[in-house]
Amino acid sequence: MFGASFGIISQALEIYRKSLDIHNRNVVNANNPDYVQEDPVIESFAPVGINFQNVRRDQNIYYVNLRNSKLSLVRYLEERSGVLSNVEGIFQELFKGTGINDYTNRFYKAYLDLMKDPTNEGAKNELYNSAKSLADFLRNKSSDIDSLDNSIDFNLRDTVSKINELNRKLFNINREITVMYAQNYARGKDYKNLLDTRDKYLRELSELININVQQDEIGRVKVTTSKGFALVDFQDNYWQLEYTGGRLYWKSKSGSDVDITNVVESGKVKALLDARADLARFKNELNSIAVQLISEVKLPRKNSGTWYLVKNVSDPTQSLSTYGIDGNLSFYDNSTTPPTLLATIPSYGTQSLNSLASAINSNATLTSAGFSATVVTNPDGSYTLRIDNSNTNYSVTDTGGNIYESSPVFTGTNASDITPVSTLRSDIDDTDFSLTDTFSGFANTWWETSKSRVSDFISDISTTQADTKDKLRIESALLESLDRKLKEMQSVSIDKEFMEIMKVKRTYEAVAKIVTTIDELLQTTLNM
Amino acid sequence: MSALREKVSLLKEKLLDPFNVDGLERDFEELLDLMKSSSPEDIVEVKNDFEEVRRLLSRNLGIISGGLKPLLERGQGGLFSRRV
Repeated sequence: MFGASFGIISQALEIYRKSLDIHNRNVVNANNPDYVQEDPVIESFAPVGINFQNVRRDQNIYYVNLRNSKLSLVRYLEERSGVLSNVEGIFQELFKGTGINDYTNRFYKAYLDLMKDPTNEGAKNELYNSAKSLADFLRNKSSDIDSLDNSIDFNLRDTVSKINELNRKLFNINREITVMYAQNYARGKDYKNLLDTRDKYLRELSELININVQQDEIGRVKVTTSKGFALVDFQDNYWQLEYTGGRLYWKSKSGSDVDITNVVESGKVKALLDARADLARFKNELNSIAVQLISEVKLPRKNSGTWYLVKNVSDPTQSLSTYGIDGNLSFYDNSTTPPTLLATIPSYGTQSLNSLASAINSNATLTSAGFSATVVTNPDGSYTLRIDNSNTNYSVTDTGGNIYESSPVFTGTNASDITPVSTLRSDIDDTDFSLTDTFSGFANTWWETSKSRVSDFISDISTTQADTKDKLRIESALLESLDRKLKEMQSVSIDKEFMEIMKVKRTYEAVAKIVTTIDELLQTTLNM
Repeated sequence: MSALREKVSLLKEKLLDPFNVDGLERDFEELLDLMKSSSPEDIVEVKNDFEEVRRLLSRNLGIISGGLKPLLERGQGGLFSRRV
C-alpha cells in the first residue's frame, strides 16, 4: 500500500518538476522573438493520480503566418527603399548646383549666351566647359548606376544562396522532428527546441522570400512560395533556387528550371529583383537625356563642310512633308563671282530622307563637285540627313530653313560614352554669327525636351521612393503591432485573449456602422 | 489644418495598429459630427484620406477575424494549441 502511494507521489513530483522546467524556460526566453511560450497540460484521473498529457505551445498560427508575410513585405520595402536612396544619392537633386537639372540648365544657358554674343570668349569657354561637365556628369552617373546594379546582382546571388541554405536546414529539421517524435515523444519528452529553431528558420526565410507554411500534426512543415512553388515538403524533399542571367529560377526535381522572377511577391529577393528593374528603367531615362543631346544639339558653323537637317525624322522612307519639312535645296560653287548655282532640288518635302540622299548622290554635277549625302541613324533611333563637302568653296542653301551648315556638340551612343565632339573648342570659334537667332530658337526647343526628360527622370525616382516609403510606413506599423501582439499573447490565457479579440471585433463592427452613415453623407455631398 | 482633416489624419494613424481600438468608436462618432457640420468643399477635400481610413478599417477587421479563427478552433484540434 505504501509502495503504491510512494509511486504516485514520485510520479507527481516528476510531473511537477517537468512543469517547473517548462515555466523556467518561458521566463529565460521571455525576450527571445523565436521562442514560443509553452504550457504544461496536466490531467488528474482518479484513483491512480495525475498524468502529464502534453505541452501546449501558446501561439496564434494566423498571427504568426501574417507576421511572417508582413516581415517579407517590410523587408522587401526596406531593401527597395534603400536602393532608391542610393539612386537619389547618385543624382543629388536635393543639393542645389550638383544635380542633373543644374548641369543641363547650365549647358543650355551657356549655349543661348553664346548665341547672343558669339564673339565673347567667356561665353565660348562656358559653353565648352558646361558641355564637358554635362557629358562627364552623365557618364559618371551611368557608371554609378552600373556599379550599383553590379552590387545588387552580387547581393541577389548571396540572397538566393541563403534561401537555399535555409530550405536545406528546414528539410533537416523536418527529418529530425520525425526521428525525435518517434524516439522521444513516445517516452513523454518534448522536442520544443527543434520547433523553436524551425520557427527561427521560417522567420529568416520570410525575410528573404514570401512563403506559405503548412504544418503537420507533429510539427513538420511544408513551405511554398507564390503560386505553390515548393521549397520544402513533408516528404523529405527540398528545392533549390538559382539566380542566373538576371532571372530567378525554381529548379524542379525533373531537372527543368522554371522562371519565377515575376512570380515571387516579396522579401529581400523580390526587392533586389525589382531594384534591378528600377535601375534598368532609370538607366533608360538617363540614356534618353544623353541620346537627345547627341542626336539633336548642333552648332551653326561657317566652315564645317557638313550640312545637317536640323529636325530629325522617325522614318526615313516617309515623305519629309509628313514632318512639316519642305523647301528648295540649292548647291553653289562660291569660287566664282557671283557664285555659280550647280543644282537645285525643288520641293524636297515630296521626297523621303532616303530618296533625297539618293537624289544628291546620283547627281553627277554635285558628286563631281565633291558633295555626298548620308542618312545618319541617331542614337535615339531617329534619322537625319548629312551633306558633306570638305571644299570650302562649295555651299548649300535651303529656303525651307531645315538644312544648315552645322555640326553636333556631342558624340557617343548613350549616357555611358557621351562626350563633347573632340573639335568642340575650335567648332565654337567657327560659329556662324548669321544663324545665332535661328539656332537660339532651336536651342529653346531642345532645352524644353531635355527639361521634360530630366523632370520625368527625377519624378520617376522620387515617386517610386515616396510610394515605397509610404507603404513601408503602413506595413512596418502593422508588423510592429503583430510582433507586440504575439509577445503579449505569451503572458495571457487563451480565454482572456479570446475576450480581448471579441471586444476589438465588436468595436470594429460598431465603427463599420458609423462608416456606412459617413459614406452616405459623402455620397450626398459629392452628388450636390 | 481643419478639424475634419485633422480627425481623418488622426484616424489614419490610429488604424495602423489593428489592435488599438481605444476610443475608436468615439473618434468615428466625432468624425461623423464633424462631417455633418463641415462645408461640402471640406468634405470633398478629405475624400481620399477617408478612402484610406476605410481601407485600413477593412484590413483590420480582416486581421481580427483571421486571428479569431484559431481561437475558436482550439478545442477541435486547431492550430493554436499544438501538441509537441
